[in-house]
Amino acid sequence: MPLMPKRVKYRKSQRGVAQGKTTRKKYHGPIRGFAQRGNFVAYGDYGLQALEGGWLSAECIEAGRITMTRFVSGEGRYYIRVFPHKPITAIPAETRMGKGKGEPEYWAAVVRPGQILFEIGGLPEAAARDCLARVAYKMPFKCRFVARRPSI
Amino acid sequence: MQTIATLKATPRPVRGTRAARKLRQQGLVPAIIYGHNQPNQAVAISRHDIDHIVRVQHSRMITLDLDGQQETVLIREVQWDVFGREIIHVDFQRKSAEEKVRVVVPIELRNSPKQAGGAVLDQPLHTVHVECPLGVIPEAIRVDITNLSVGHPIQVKDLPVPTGVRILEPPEAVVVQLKVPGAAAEAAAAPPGETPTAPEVIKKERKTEETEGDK
Repeated sequence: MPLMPKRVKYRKSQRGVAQGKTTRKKYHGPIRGFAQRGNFVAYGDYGLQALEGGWLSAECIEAGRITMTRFVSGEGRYYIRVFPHKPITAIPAETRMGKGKGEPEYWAAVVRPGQILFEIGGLPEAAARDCLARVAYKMPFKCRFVARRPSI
Repeated sequence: MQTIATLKATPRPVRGTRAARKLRQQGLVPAIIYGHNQPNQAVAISRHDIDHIVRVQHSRMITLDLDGQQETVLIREVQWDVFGREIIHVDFQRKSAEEKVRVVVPIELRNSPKQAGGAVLDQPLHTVHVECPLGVIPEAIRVDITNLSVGHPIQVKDLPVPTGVRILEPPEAVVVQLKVPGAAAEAAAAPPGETPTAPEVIKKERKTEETEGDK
């Protein structure tokens, strides 16, 4: 079951910023700015960092979660650092324009470049790299493997 | 104990975002020195050198060479870019080697548990706040987890601490433990029955009773 909020104040939300032809088509609009929070590994030892911005659907998060669960079963721990708060609406096919906003289709997380998507701990670096590479394959963004920052 | 690194710094006469950005393009990092009731000194340091000190040497205590003057400083804060690749600013605090400081020290796990029994290693604390003289800041607190077992976590009070170092975290705080994965997974799983397809919408409560009462 993909993630979604338990309770919401409103069923539908506004789209947000959407500009740029290529990115709009591929990622449903670029997201302005960089991730100012959640941009470093905080809970595990290694993480997967998004290098691009966009919407990350709850199905994608679930796909990453299943991949990680199968890989780390009985060895390490993983953490999901994003949550799909945003309802995405769509108008059905072969429908005339107008007549109001479409119905919610899925839930998505707004991801900005630099956001840590998943973290993993309790595994050696080589295994963590292997695991997060499999997860990155399922993500709609370019991602990179990151380790903890040196603690100063 | 950490090694004392040496770093060359040059005064930075111009401040501001644009000047700092130009410095970074030249391979330098803007930094500031403060403390000991002396005026603040804006300086520029080599990015390569500070990167080596932070990532490789893991030193916090630095002897800064500023126009021939030697100053002992502590790296108080390091600012990173949004991707965590490059250092963009450093705060240095003037300190003497005998002065007590409060810093964050990483915890390093050594070996692997002998009797894991299918449990998963969980480390809630990756760093601890410590108070110690500047000269004896440990590089890391290394914990041997060979004898770690389920139900017997390693707590802060069990950490091997060098003399002169005091940990500021609560003594009962768990550093590392073995968790049975099934328990967490069952708790996270949805309860049996109908799975919700859409979230509940919060609606305002109608004040019908109050209005009826007024009438």
